[in-house]
Amino acid sequence: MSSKKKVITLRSSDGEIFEVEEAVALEWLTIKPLVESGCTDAIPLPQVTGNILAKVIEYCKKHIGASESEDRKILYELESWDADFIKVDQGTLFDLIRAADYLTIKTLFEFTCQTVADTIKHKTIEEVRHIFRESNDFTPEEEKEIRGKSWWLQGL
Amino acid sequence: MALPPRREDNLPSNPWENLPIELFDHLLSGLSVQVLIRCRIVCKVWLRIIDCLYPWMKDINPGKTCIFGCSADDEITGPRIYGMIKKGDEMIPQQIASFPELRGFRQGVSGKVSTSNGLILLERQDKSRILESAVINPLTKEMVVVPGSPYQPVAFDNLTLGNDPLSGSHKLVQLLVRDENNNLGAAIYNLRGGRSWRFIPFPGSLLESSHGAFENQDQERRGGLCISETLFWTLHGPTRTIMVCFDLRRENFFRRSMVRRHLERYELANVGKRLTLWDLSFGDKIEIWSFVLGWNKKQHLWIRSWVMFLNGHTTNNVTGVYHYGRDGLLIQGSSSTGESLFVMQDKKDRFLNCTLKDGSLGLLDVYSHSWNSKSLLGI
Repeated sequence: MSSKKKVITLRSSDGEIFEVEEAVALEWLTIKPLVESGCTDAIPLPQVTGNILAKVIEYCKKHIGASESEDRKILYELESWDADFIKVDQGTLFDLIRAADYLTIKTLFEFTCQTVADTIKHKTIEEVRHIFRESNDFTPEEEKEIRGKSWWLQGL
Repeated sequence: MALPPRREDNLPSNPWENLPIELFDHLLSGLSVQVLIRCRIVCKVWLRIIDCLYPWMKDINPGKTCIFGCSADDEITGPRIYGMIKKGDEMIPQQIASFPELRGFRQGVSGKVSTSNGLILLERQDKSRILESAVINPLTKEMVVVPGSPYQPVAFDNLTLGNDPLSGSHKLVQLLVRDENNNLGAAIYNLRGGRSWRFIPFPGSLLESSHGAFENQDQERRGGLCISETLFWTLHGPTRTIMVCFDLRRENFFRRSMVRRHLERYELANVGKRLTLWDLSFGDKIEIWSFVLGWNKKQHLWIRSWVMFLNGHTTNNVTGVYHYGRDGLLIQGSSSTGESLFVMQDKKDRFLNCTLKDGSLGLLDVYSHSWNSKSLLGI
């Protein structure tokens, strides 16, 4: 690895300045052309706030190079790091999804989407409503009709 | 298209409010049909989103017997599972799940898919044997990958999935393998207990009266059909066709003989839990002989047989490939409009037309079942 790494400057929507290595920024397909063109100014990211951008950078720094590793120990360590990383409130989680989508970071986008899917997967309907702060706005008749006669919705 | 803002709200703002619907599509694509159907009841907004992204979802009713198709020839998406959504008299296939992790897995050598209780068995093979198999649940996206059996297969592999209703456990049975002492038998794998292959030798009496059917290397074998707790196969010896049955609960073999009749294209089928044999002949019209099998004390009897004609479908407009599903009959061809035509039979001996818009399906099988709660809660 070269000792002198090129650094890219990013500016979040609330004006915070972040510095990331070029290798990390190249993984973000939205800004990749700018980075490749040798842009030296701070790249503005008007859709991402500072605290979310910090999380995104933290994730990408950790993952660069490590995801492709064949070493089981490194992958296992990365998995538990991911699990800790994603222990955030729902608002932050959805902000991360939006940011990953906006910046086109495939790994983070898929990881965050999978996290939401996993949250829903093994929950009852009532638990899902609670997590996503939804209230049941069906009348009992409407709900009965949607449930139909399907036995696998009984007791859920 | 963004989600509408909330109306009355003393609740804190919703984290996914204003999320573009494209993102929602991504979020939901990781979920199984089972979870999505449940999510429809969460609230009106979710119902609207899911019905907008998956308009066929409301027509699926897993409580009833469904007819499903499986296409496993796609190297990119992996095996794809189709549910047949009934619209009037037509059946329209709709992809309900794909398993990209199982790239290279496909139907068995015979082109049939072994199914039991809503679970589907797929295999990854090389030229001579099964390397791995996978049991999948298309509605929950659960899957279990099973290593190939260590026993030497005779002729070609024949792997069948069955369910022992007493213990609720699913078992894989590989018919006709040889153990290290060259004994003939079957290999069995219990998905719930043990998780390793065991060898079950054929009883001596079965081998003696097999009319050479086990030794016949080039024979065509049919079946691997699971009804209740019994698996059925037919094997052709030089002089007779015999039926081998395997009791999944007691894990032992028994045998039935069959009357010799000229059977050209036939398939064992499970029609409403009756063991049925279909034999098709193609003249001016497609003739389908249907036999419901049963036994008397002499070990053999055809109970009932009848012939059916596919009205309105002559051999002229059914071209190409014919498939015999284990749980239904499927004829593939093209109609005058150039689309693929599928004719299927449900268990009430009625025929359903199925028009397939996606002609690239390739291998397709048809099977049906009622799901029980056990198979959905875990393999």
